[in-house]
Parts: sequence; structure tokens; C-alpha cells
Amino acid sequence: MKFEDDSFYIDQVKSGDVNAYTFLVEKHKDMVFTVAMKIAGNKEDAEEIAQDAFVKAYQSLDNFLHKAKFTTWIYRIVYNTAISKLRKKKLDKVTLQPEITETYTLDEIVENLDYYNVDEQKQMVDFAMGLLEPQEKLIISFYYLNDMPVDEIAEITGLSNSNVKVKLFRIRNKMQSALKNQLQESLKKMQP
Amino acid sequence: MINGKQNRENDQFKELVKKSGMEQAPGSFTENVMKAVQQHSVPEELSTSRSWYSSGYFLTGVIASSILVALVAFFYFYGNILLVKEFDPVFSPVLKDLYQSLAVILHSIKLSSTTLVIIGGFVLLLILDLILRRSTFSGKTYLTF
Repeated sequence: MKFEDDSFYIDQVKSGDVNAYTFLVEKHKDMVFTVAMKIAGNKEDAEEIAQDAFVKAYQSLDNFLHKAKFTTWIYRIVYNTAISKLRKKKLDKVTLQPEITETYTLDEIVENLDYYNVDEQKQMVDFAMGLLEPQEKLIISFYYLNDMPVDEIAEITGLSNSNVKVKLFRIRNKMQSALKNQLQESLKKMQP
Repeated sequence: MINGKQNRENDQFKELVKKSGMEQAPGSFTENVMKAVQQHSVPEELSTSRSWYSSGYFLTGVIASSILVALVAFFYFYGNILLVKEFDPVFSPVLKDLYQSLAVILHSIKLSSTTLVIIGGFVLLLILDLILRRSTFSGKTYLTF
């Protein structure tokens, strides 16, 4: 399905055509759902967060002035909605302190992961991402999955550019540490 | 050299994270969102329109203004009726005083036709502003003073 520019649909919605919002939802639902899923960690909460975010965006569409991109705006809403929901449900109990891996370098982690099948790899990376804090999950999803520039991530999260870069560095360390632990656990299970 | 290593690590992480992959929204997602959008927008409009027509402020304002205008017109054109002594021997002096006070106030207000037009225009603009605000549900005023 070929979509028009976001501003085209936004103007239509603003002029009273509610159905034009369907196209905006269709266009961005997967990325919004992915972000919600990465933060919430389960499909039920992710669906609720993503849906709430789209409804909130619709209700505040009159305040959207085309100064920022629609995606930046909706992702900020997703982020705030997710954080608010997590605070209510206190889902983010598990945190991982960053530590420098000594046993495996990043090269070795990547190399070792290749011995596992695609589903197992996904499971390991999902688990490692699941140990991150909500904001870190959002940053890593935008930066690596969506190829979003640092300044746009800063705009969504309300952090400074340098802060986002520092967080990316810490996230990499955390992920590396988590993956290292998983690989070691997996090796222990394989040993007789 | 350092930048090269960082870029390589960055690329490796990108590959790692991409293993986690993009999620796909459930099939009925858009439909559910649009249902929620319509559910959320209708009560909001209704509640706004309800406050506009049935909150009582508008009706009270109209009635109060009408009574005020009627009283002013009455005293302006038929105020002499209060001077009739046979009307009520007890209240006649009170009514007379009231009439005289009102007459003084009314006569002290000298309005030219230009002033009347300006005041009328001002009132008209206020009413238009109120209607526009209510019809767009935004709650923002279009007039700045």
C-alpha cells in the first residue's frame, strides 16, 4: 500500500475527515507497536499502549503544528504512555547494572550467536533487551531498528544529544554483558 | 582508528538488535484504534455541546440581560407611572425616589450613535467569539484584547 505524506492525512483529519486517520494508523502501526512491545515486553500491554498512543495523538491532533515530524510526535506519545503504564503496573522491576565483559568480546559474542538458530538468537537478544530500562529500550529500538538520528531520539526522550550518546554507550555495555551471561549459561547447559 | 572501531561495533550492535526484529501489529489493530477514536471523540463533543446549551450559564445570561434591558426600557419610557400618588400612598415616595434616582442615572449617560455602534459591535464580537470557541471545541479565544 502506497501512502501519502503524513501532513496530507493530518490536514484531512483536521478538516473533519476522521477516516483519514486510518491511513496514519496503518502507516505507522508496526513501528509504534514494535516500540511499545520493546518497552512493555508483552503483546497485551504493547497493544494497549500503542492503541492509547494513537487515540491520544488523534485527540491532540489540533495541537500538532507540523513543526516536528508526525513520527517524532507519535513516538513521544508512545514513550510517555508506556512509561506511565509501566509506572502503574511496575513492570520494570528487573534492571541490570552495566559491567565490562571480559570473557567475550563483542566479536566473540556475535560469532558465538551464529551457532544458534534464528529463533534462539532472537530469544537471546529479546532477553538482553528486556533487561534494559524502558527509556533504554526505546533508545536502542529507535537507533538500531529504525535508524533514527541521535537528535530525533533526543527530541522524543527530552534528553540532550550527548546524553543519548552516553546512554547508547551504556546500553551497548549492558547488552554485551547480558548476552555474554546468556551464552555462558547456554554453554553450561550443553556440558555433560 | 578509534572511530573505525566504534563504527564497526555500532554495525555489529545494529545486526544484533535487528535479530530481535520488528514486531507486527495485530490484524485488528487499526480497526480497534478507529473504534476507540470514535468512542473517545463522540462523548467529548457531546459533553462540550452539553455544557454550551444546557449548562445554564447561557440561558441565565440571556434571561438576566433581557430583564435588565426590559427594566431600563420600561423606566426610560414609562417611568412617570411611578409618580402617580394614588398608586400606593405608602410606597409612592419610595417609588418616586427610585424613579428619580434612575432618571438621574439614565440622563447622566450620554450616548452618541457612534458609541452605541461601538458597544453593539463589541457585544456582537463577544457573542461571535463564544460561538466560534464552542463550535470548534478548542476553548481558545479568537479575540485578543
